Amino acid sequence: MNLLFFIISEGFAGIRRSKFSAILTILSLLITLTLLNIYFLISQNILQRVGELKGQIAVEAFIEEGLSEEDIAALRTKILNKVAIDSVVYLSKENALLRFADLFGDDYDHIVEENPLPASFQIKIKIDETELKITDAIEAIEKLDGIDEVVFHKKLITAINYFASSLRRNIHSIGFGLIVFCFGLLWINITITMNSKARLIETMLLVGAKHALIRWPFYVQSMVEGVIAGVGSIIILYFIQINFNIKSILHSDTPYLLPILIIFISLSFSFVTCFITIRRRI
Amino acid sequence: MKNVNFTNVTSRYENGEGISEANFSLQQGEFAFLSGPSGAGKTTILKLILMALFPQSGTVEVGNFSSFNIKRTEIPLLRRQVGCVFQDFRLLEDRNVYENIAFVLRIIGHREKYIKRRTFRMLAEVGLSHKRNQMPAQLSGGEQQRVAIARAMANDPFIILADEPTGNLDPETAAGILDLFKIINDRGTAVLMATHNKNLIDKYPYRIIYLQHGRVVE
Repeated sequence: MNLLFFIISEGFAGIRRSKFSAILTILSLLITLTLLNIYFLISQNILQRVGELKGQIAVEAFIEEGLSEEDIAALRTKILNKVAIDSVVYLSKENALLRFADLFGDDYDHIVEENPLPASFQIKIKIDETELKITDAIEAIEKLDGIDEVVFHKKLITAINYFASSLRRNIHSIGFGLIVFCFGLLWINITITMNSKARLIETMLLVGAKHALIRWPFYVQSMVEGVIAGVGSIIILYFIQINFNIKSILHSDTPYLLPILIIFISLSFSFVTCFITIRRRI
Repeated sequence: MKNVNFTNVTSRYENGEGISEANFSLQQGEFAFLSGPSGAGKTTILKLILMALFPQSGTVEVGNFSSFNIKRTEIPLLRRQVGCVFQDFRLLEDRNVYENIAFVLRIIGHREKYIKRRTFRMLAEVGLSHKRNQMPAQLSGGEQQRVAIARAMANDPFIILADEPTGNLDPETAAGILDLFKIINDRGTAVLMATHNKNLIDKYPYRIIYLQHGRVVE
């Protein structure tokens, strides 16, 4: 119990004793975490917008004339059961005409005597499905009895998919780069600290301190520094979200999840870097 | 009765320095100077006692521990029975005088009440109670060495190893430090002091373990 108290108090005292190096560690973590948070926040928002855009692209499946209501309902269910399909809305001939009137004005009845527009299904595809699955689903819909023609903006979906996948790739590589950068920064910082304390550590060993008793206060110190940096990063993140009106990346009914996650990542990152660096030396 | 025994100990560095076939014993309560020219092997002997170095042949016995079969995890336990005083004091520069002495008690897991009592007693014995809150850098060389002695004595070791403890001090302060070692020795703690200060050795009637070219010549 006394040793546990010793380790914890030495960990906190370590921050006070080596203020400069502690501030450097906290700043390194804070900067990298903030960069990661901002990057994650922006990229998730962009990906979400891309997804929404993809979801807005409607596929139109025109229905052959003369189908009964039961046939149309059965056809709708068949389309809805396809893997890549998110929703199917039936648009009757009358509603198609009303929509046409909304778009082009209501003097059409002077031009044509009867409604030439076919009934259709307005199909929305799932935003996270692959292009191959979408194409397969569209081809399957085209082959269904009762479907006359399917209008599908394949090129637009291909372009959006390409943009989204390259964006995801970049997000992953930049995120990974930032993590490596943070790890390097902390590694250098801890190594410099350890070098400056090499003599101190040697003296501690000579007066009978066990290796673990020297290591653990450093671990405690690193965890405290990680928590401080994590809290600082959350404050900056909220400031950015509020001031720049950026949508939060997490669902609103879990408001504590993001702060806990950031603190946990910061603490783990600081601890793991410290652990590896110190185990190599003591 | 805890002793230090060197039996046919050889420990040589790559440059040829070190000790060869060293045989000697130091009984509990004894005071001995470890003398000889630079590079004769004085520090090597102290390192061997602390098990910071292991002999290439022969055996070093310190109390209940032997270089022959000591485990790595037992080395700190050995060092807690051996007090160390260095020429360059080796105080923990990032904490004050009180914390320097308390440190060796804390790593053993003593209760805070005991640590406080023992640390104040050690400070009183070396005459530095009034400087307990000062940092090592704020003390003179003599005062720093007194703190180092207090730290070495805090765990009530059976032997004190002193590596040129007066090397960085003026003659008057050096004599004061040696008097302090004499008081410690009078209480039954063995003292092994490495020094090449002949004036100091001549002044005190203690045993001299003389080293020449790595060999013990008593």
